[in-house]
Amino acid sequence: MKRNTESGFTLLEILMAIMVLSIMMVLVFDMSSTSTETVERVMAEDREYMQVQTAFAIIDRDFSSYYTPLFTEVPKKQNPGESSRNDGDNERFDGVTHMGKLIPIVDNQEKHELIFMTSSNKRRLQGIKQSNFAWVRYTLRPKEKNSNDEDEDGPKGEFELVRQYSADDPYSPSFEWDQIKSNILLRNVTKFQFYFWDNAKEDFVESISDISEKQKVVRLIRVNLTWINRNGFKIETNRSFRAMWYFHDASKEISTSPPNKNSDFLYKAKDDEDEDDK
Amino acid sequence: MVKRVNKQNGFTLLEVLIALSIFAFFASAYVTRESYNLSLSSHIKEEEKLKTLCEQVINQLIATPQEYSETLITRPETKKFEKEPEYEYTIEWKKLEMPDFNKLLPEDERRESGTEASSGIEKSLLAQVKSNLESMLWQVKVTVFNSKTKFSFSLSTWLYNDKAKVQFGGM
Repeated sequence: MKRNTESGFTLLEILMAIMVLSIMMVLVFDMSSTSTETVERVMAEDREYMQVQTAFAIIDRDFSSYYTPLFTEVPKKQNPGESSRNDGDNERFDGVTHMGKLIPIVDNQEKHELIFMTSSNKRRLQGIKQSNFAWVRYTLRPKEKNSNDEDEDGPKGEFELVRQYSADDPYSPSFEWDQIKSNILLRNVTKFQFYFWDNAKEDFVESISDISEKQKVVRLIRVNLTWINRNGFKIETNRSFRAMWYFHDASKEISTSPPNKNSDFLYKAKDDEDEDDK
Repeated sequence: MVKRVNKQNGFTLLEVLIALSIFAFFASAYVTRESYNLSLSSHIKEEEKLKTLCEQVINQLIATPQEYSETLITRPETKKFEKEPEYEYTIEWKKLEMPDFNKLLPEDERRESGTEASSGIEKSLLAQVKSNLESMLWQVKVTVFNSKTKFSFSLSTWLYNDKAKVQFGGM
């Protein structure tokens, strides 16, 4: 008669328990796996984001010490007979100042390109032909197809942002950008453009040649950048960079004070003006 | 014969509830931990954006020499960014406020210099320096505000008035 006194679970009960447990475990597993995935995703996104920040920081370092003697001097007036370029046809310099310094060009022939001289260089070895000056060029170039296949999948921008930096012998007449090594700042870029601040218009203009005549130097630039991140989102950012240089109006100085000995070879303009007045 | 009608083994409702709540507690702790990670990331991005906009406004102010006049101080202007309608910025101007130079000296020195005959000249000199500095240096503060997320970021700097002339009268 003791058939039914044994305590225990029936098969049905055990099956039910296993079912419930397994459902719960699947839920927990699913939850944890999605969250680790998102963490990884976010971390990878943040890493890419940091790359953009780093690229901006590099541009900032270069442009904040952007150099031209025009910050403190004025261009020498051309005598009628002289050609506008008298210094050995060096195409990286555009005339001379009233103190006889060469004026480096700021070149922005294409919207995504900028060439300028920076004074942020640090000479690391003694005796090499370097100073604190260096030429920098930022440009966008089509991406090379068969570069290493690490970061393969996912959508990609067609361009990469490149920086060329040349500190050797910045005043030498022979100079080819093609021979200078280019470093990739950013991959997967779709759009990149420079804008230049115009004091008179109080706005950014697209090209240096659009800046009004009165303003001699570029003090503020803006960069618009569109890139694609690994999850396929197009991200548009912009950043402004300012040259750290004080304001000094040299043209007043020239008309009020007599030219000093070192500079009297250069500026006959004052005398000319006086004659005109008479 | 039938003794144990109601002696079923099992959990009471209370026990089950307690077990569930413990489980829920840990699960929710886990989930909030992860979402915190996400919100931190987006928070940093938002802050970075505000900083970029703020820098741009202040860069424009520095790159464009201003006409400094008292009218600047009276109106803190709030404008919107053309391209980012949810962001707005405020520019506040202030003149430099110089402390009284005499108060900078320690007490006993102040008494000493007060007795000397030169104190009159000293005072007028300091007053001239003060008025010159006040016309030359300006303060500006830019605050960028996101009207959606209510985050804000502000930067301030010194600007010098390049039109100010150094003046020493009566010397």
